Amino acid sequence: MSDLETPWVQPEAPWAASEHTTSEHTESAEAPWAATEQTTSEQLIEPFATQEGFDESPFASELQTETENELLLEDVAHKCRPGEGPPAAPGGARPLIHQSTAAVRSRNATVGYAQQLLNRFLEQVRGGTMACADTRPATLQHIASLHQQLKRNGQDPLVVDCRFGPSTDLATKMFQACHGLLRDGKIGPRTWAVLERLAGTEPVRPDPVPPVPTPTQTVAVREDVWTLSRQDPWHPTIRFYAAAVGAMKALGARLDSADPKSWGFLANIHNEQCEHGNFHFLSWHRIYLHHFEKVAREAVVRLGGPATWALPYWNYNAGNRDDSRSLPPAFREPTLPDGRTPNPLFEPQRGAGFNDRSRPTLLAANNIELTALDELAFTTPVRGGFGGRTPAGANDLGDPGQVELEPHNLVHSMIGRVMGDPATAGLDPIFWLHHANIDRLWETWLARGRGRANPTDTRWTTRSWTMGNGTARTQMRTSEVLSISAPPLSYRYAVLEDPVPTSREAELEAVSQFEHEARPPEVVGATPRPVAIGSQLSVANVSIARPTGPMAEMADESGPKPGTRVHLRLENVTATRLGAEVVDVFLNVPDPARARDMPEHRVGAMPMFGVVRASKRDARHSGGGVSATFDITDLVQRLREKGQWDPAQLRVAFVPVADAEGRVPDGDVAVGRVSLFFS
Amino acid sequence: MAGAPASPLLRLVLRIHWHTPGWVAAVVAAGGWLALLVALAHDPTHLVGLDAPHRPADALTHSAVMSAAMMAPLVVPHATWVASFSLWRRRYRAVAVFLVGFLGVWTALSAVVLAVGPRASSAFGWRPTLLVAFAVATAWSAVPYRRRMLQRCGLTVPLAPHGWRADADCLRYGVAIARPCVLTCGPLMAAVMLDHGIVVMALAAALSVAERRALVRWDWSIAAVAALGVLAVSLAPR
Repeated sequence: MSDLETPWVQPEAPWAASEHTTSEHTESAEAPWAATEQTTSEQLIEPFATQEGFDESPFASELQTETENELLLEDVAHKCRPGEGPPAAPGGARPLIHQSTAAVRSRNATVGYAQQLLNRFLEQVRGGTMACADTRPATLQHIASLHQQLKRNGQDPLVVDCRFGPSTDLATKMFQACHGLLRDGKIGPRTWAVLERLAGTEPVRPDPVPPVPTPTQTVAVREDVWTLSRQDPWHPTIRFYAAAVGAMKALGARLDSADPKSWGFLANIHNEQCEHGNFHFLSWHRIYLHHFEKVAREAVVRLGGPATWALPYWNYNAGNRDDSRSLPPAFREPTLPDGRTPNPLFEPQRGAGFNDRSRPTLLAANNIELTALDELAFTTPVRGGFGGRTPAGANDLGDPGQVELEPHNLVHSMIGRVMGDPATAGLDPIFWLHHANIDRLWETWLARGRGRANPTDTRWTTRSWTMGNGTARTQMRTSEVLSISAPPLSYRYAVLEDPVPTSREAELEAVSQFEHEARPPEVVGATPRPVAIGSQLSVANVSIARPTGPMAEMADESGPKPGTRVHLRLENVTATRLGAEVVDVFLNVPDPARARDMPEHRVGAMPMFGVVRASKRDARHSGGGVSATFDITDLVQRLREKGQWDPAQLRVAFVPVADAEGRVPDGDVAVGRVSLFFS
Repeated sequence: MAGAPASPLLRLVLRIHWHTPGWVAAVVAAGGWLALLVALAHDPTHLVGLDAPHRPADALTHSAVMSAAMMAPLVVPHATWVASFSLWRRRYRAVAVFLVGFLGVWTALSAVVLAVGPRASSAFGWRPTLLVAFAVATAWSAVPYRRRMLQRCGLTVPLAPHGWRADADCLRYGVAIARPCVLTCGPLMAAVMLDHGIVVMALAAALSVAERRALVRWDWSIAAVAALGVLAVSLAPR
């Protein structure tokens, strides 16, 4: 189906009238966000007010008064406001305070008092004058690592807002680590006793003038869409997103829309300019999200929403809860709660079951694993590192980074259809939340420390992009977007939620620390010709030779020695027509027909996102397809232990993954070469 | 570095050998420039250009030398890629075969330019011929199609691991990379080869490398080609 013929174009959408509206839209201005500046609160409430469960609209009260939910928008409903200065020391016994949903624990003047004391501690940290009781290197390194996170949150010093949030929690843990206290982030009697010693400490730089509001004080907070959805499927942040999407679609829902603030135009930027398969992937998409968020926020404000509205993110890994792996309810409903107004967040062209309202298809848990976070380098010679391999020159000799492959590409491919094609992906409202999550994972990766850092290569830092035009134009270079909490970006993530590093991190640390100084990766085997992947099982045999270069001493006749990393590469994957959106890859399965029953042989999944695009020879692609690298060191070790590793031969099985309805379309996907590397 | 020699120089050599096997292309280019400098020492008019017909054998040698000097630096990353994705024992052979394919295309085309160019200059005059050649090169550098071709210079292809298939794949890859390369740099290189003054040649080679490495903006490279034309014409002996 052509991009321009897709049925998601809704020319009769009822929110179609605005100052940009063309005549074909003007007669259907019934939706609440239809009239832009003229929109009233009553109009906004209306579609949400009649559905079961919404008989008393949740928005009605929220639009009149501030509620708990509004606090998520960095509200000003606390007893102290950012920049007002610290509250005085409270009288009486010091209460236990910590991160909590209870105001008595987390939102009161005592918290502001503690924040002020913690700021004195942070002043000492910055000045290198902190007097820690625990001076072990590991502790100091831990404190430095937390300090980095704090700085990335734009919270050094803490904004004294009387709210015990994640940053106050971090500062508390730093303080506790320094003073040998239990690092639980709770300020109880023991922590208070030590913390209040700072009360007598004069600030290093007393500032008699009222504090000048800093850019960090208007930092918008990107929240997890599932956290919001569990509070209310139509939480204000989601509701305003829906309203903004509706307004943007009204300006033009097709990819050829000319209005730079229209939905189609914004999606088409991804179609025409997106950077994939090299080390610009993360920075380009960060700038793209920022551009989109600016336009969307403008629409939100025009519709009566808060100026601090921020794009939510979709954390499909959140808390190991299964429902996080499904699309949030607001994205699955064909209509708004009134039961008749089409829902702008609904995209009918999604993979089987993803829009199911009662039992939605879940993203496969083993395709959204966060092992990319274990990577220590942003870019590495073979597997692309975390963020992607450095392209050679102006063109694309690069490789995707691990976070681009999984979860990024796999989520695109699993949802499929509109999301499964880079040309149309931006038309699905979930696209933006998915990318906000990828952007959050970049921050999470950096926050892990242990040498993780962005590239300093000037080809990366000085690369500049221009998006949009006229009244909606963004021109930025990568170096401007490396601190998300500082202008011009000015946002942060509510929670980074870093999973526990796997043992692979330590292994990688051992081999990657001096990767550029150490032995180069060496090919030890490859298929002599391409491998076709149809709708059924395909098998490729790879003859393995013993390495003869610098890796020779890292392997013997039985295979790689301990300490050697083993990588399976699928190179030059091309297609003009996709079959399965995802292909599972297995190694040395005794009976390939039963590969699916042997998850212990699974290498991973190859997403087909962008394969057709990268196989075309056009202004942005060389036609060489895409490549993917899998670290199979642990799998090889397990196979050796089971006696299923043949040092002379590797058998790779490709199993196309059927959709939720059991279908695997015919395609012409081919893997140009399957190769094995030691490093 | 594992098992690294103590001498810093040897360490550097080992490092280049291990991690940048495309150095072979750089050495080929250096050899080309050395040959051009030797020619310059024998005939200083080569510095600013020479309107003289070549004998067919000379034309082939000269075009091979100029192609190596100017075009080989463009494919150092490709040569490194070819080596890195070949079995260790085949890596320099793979680079050599790749370079034969790539430079073979350029040498053949350059020989044609060197054979045809002097006839054009004798018919229309050297300066008008140079002027037209650089005008075409400048106009070509502004064509969007050229940018599309530049993107194709990043093509990679699957390489068989061993046997004649491996050699054939490397040769085919060299030709495949030469094609977009000719379509992006061809008009400029043709103009430079007509001129064959070493100064203009060196500047054109530097510009091409900078463009491939995204070190110059698109509009600047158009201006730079025009400036090269002005320089070539103004340096041309009357």
